[in-house]
Amino acid sequence: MVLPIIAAVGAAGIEGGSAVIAGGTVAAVGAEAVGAGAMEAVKAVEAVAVTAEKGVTGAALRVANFVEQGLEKVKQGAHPQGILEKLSNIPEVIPENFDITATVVKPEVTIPVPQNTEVTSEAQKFIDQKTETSLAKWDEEHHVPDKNRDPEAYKQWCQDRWQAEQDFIVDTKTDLIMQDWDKQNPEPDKAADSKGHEDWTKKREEQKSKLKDEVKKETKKQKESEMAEVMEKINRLKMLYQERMDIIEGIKAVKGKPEKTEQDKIDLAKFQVRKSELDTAIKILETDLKSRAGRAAPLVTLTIMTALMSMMIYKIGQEQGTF
Amino acid sequence: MDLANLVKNIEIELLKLIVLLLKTGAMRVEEVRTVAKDFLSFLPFQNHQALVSALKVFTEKHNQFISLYQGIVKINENKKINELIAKMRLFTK
Repeated sequence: MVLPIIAAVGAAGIEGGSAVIAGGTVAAVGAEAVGAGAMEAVKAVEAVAVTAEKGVTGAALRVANFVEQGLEKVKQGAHPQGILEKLSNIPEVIPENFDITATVVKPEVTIPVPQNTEVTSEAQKFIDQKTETSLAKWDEEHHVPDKNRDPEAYKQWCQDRWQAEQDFIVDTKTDLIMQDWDKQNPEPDKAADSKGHEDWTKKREEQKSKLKDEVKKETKKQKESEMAEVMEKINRLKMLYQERMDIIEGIKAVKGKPEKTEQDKIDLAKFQVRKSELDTAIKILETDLKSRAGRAAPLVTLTIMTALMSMMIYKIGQEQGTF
Repeated sequence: MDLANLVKNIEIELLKLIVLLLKTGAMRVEEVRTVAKDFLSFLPFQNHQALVSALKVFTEKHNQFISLYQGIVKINENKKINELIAKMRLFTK
């Protein structure tokens, strides 16, 4: 990313004469093309220069030279913020031995709160693997109750596992994003600068806490949407089942008529085509849900299997006339 | 470019502009003091948006440095365009 800065300044009044635009300096940090906005900037700075005082004071020139010296030091690794600190307290009368780079001011640690908690696909793979390993360990430590003998305990276990999975994702993702923060904000040497190290630790904790909250919210949302997607399919399946049962009733009713009109025959054909369509749609949806149940978290699997079972019972009951 | 480096580059550009304005007589030493103080008062920047907002306020007060704000706006535009392109690439995969 590049910052196009136009620093065009006319040399108005340096020689005490008329305002002459001696030249413009395009100082671009990087090589990005300079657009119309930048041209306006040239004009703005030129305008300032043109209207400037005719004479440049010795003090101003001296400060300018100091800053230039400081900028040279920046090339060697000094931080520009140190120069700004010095300028913010520049004395009225500048002493002979004034040195802009004499005081090394350490840059304040910035806290770049991530704009979003998105990670690369590789990082996501790492998070998935780590979560899987942690869940395997969790499974070892948490005995699975028998779902037939104690369905309530099994349901609770599924819910606990659902929460544990979210916690593992949050921890891994937070640690991963914090690695970037650590790169941007290197840990100060504790022995050399204990105060700096203390500040850094405090800021890191604040940052981690903020980030964790953000990741937690996002992960919860993702998991809820995963469940919502499944619930939507279950509801759709229920509707298809209901429609199928209504169609079957219709077919039975038409077939049961002692004398069928032409319209009855058309209706019967239509109902049979629709029943066939519904059978296909139900089969596709059931297959999709079953395959999802095979790879989803136990809580999702439990939800799917419970729904499928209840629909199966409903279907059999309807067909046998129980409901 | 990460935020820390971006801020560093902006500070360098600010100093370069100060030098030019001082040399041309467009700025006095007293003003330099105020400019530096005002800029430092915004630090640290919590995020990219905070930096943009701070530069807007800063350059409204010190309009000789408007190019700093225009530069960051340009960067923002490019960032948004790049994000949009990346999103569209995902859709068309």
